[in-house]
Amino acid sequence: MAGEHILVIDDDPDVREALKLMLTPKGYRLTMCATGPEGRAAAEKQPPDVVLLDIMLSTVSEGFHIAYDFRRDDALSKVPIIMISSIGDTVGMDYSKELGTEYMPAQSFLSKPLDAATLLRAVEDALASAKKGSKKASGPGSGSTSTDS
Amino acid sequence: MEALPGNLWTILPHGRFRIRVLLALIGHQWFIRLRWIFVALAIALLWAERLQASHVNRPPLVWYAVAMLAASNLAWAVLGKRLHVEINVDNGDGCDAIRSVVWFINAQMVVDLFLLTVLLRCSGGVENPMAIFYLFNMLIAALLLKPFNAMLQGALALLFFAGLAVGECVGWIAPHYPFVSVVSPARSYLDGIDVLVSVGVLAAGAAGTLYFTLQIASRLDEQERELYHTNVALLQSREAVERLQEKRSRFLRTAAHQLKTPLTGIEMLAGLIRDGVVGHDGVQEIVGRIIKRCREAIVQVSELLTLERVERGARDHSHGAGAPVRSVLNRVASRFREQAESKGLTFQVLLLCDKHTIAAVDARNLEDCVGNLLDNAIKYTSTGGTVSLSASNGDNEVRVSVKDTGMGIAGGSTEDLFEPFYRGNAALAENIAGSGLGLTIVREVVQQAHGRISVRSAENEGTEFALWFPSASDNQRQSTTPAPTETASISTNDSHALKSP
Repeated sequence: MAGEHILVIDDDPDVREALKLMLTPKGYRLTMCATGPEGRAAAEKQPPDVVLLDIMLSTVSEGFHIAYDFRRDDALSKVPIIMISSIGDTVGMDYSKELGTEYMPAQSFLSKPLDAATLLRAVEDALASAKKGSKKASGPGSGSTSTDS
Repeated sequence: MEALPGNLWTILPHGRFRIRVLLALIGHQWFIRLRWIFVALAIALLWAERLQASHVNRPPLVWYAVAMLAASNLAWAVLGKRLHVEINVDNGDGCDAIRSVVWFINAQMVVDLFLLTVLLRCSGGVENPMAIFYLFNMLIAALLLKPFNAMLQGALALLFFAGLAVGECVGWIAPHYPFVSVVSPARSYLDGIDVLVSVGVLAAGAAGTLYFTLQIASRLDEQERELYHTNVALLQSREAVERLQEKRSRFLRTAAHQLKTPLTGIEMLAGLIRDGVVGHDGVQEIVGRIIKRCREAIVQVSELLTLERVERGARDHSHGAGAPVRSVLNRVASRFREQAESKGLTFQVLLLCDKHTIAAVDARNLEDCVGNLLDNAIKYTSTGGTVSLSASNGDNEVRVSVKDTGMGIAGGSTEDLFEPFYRGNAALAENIAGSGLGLTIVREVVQQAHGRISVRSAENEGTEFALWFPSASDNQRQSTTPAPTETASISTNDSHALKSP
């Protein structure tokens, strides 16, 4: 398990810090990015095993656009994405129902605030799913999971 | 409501309601049905006359006229249906279709007038009271067509009728066929005075019908136009209100999310302590972060309240007494000087306007506005840089500028800067705290004061925000007393102050 590379894209420094404190003790290697462009550049430089992606960055939907870009990129299209956001309640959307669709090309959706156990379970599921086969991991409706903390 | 073509008034003097009536009459073949009834009645009367008075010798022309009326009616029915389809499918501005309708109605009326004259010719001429049907045509024309069309129809009717009457009177048109054959035929068609009276009565009737109908129609047109424009204004207002409601709703959603963000961070950080993710040594740092997030939340709430206060001022039209520019700017500068200098920045204040300069903007709003710009300038400028605040008089306006030598705006894009909660990528990357409301407040204050904003920025070189406020009127000047702190607040970098004794 240990050593997998996780790319975190979140504009909130405290959330990044909390994620770091939750994941580092488990041996994951983290790359922390505060903006979409930074995240894209980091992913191109070193493709991650999992992406933890906030939805609302510089714009309310930048996270979605980053996910779409990853899905279009051959090198990154199979990387499982875990969306993390508190925007679902704000806009009255249940994003977990959209998982795996073109609109929401993510492995799972976690609502902020989230605790360590929920996060670790989602990351382990994503990694396990990716290992089972890249075909299942990124296809629409391919056994996606949703975890609300 | 569909938009009314702007140039429609040139085709028809009246509005959508009567155009719809006209189209409905064509659509329901009202004229056609009426004419069929007339044809049926004419045939019935002619047959009745033949049965009751077999000696009567009506010319074949009367049957031809009835047959022509029936044939023309059939043609109008076919054309009317085609025209109705064309109007329904017309995707243009509707003017061409309406123009066709006007021609269609005019053509029918001219043919009707002619055939009515032929029927009169065969059934008594001036003696036949059916001449009243000329007025019927004019009434329809006055109500549904242009006044010019109605008057032309009236003139044509009079020409036909007078031609028939005079022609029979002088013997050009012969023989004369009596109106009612079963009684002794009247000979009034030969009496010049009778003919003149008949034509005169018809002319007077036509003139009266046209005058009164056109007058009433004109009043109705004015009312309809007023109603139309009122309706358009109401619809535009409703759309504006709906847009505003949508904007407010979006703003509320975003504001709620932004307020939730620090609380989310606080809960996550507190959860780290609760779940033992951080050890004893790390607790202090996490608590420090929690306190910082609490402060951020408080700042956000404060800025939301400021924005609400500024917007409320706009709604209440309470612009205050005007702002004494030097006094307000010195006060703001003294608030931010320490913050700038503690960051290692050079803080310059250059107030070139005199102490009597009053800007037509609420003093508190101006203070918030410039405060937000200075706060941003200091946050986005690295140690060693410079932040400048300046003010000067223009033609009936006051210019206030905040300039920095900071990171600038990436790509020079200033489009979204003033949108609520917008945070540039550079700010996010550098972890620079901010509510995203500061520039929204600036824009609101400037708009409320009918001023202007200009932004000049170059990446890694700096940004300058320039604001122009109208100078205050004399009334505002008289009611504004410069604050006593003005003379006491002299900045060492205030070049104007250095020049003053």
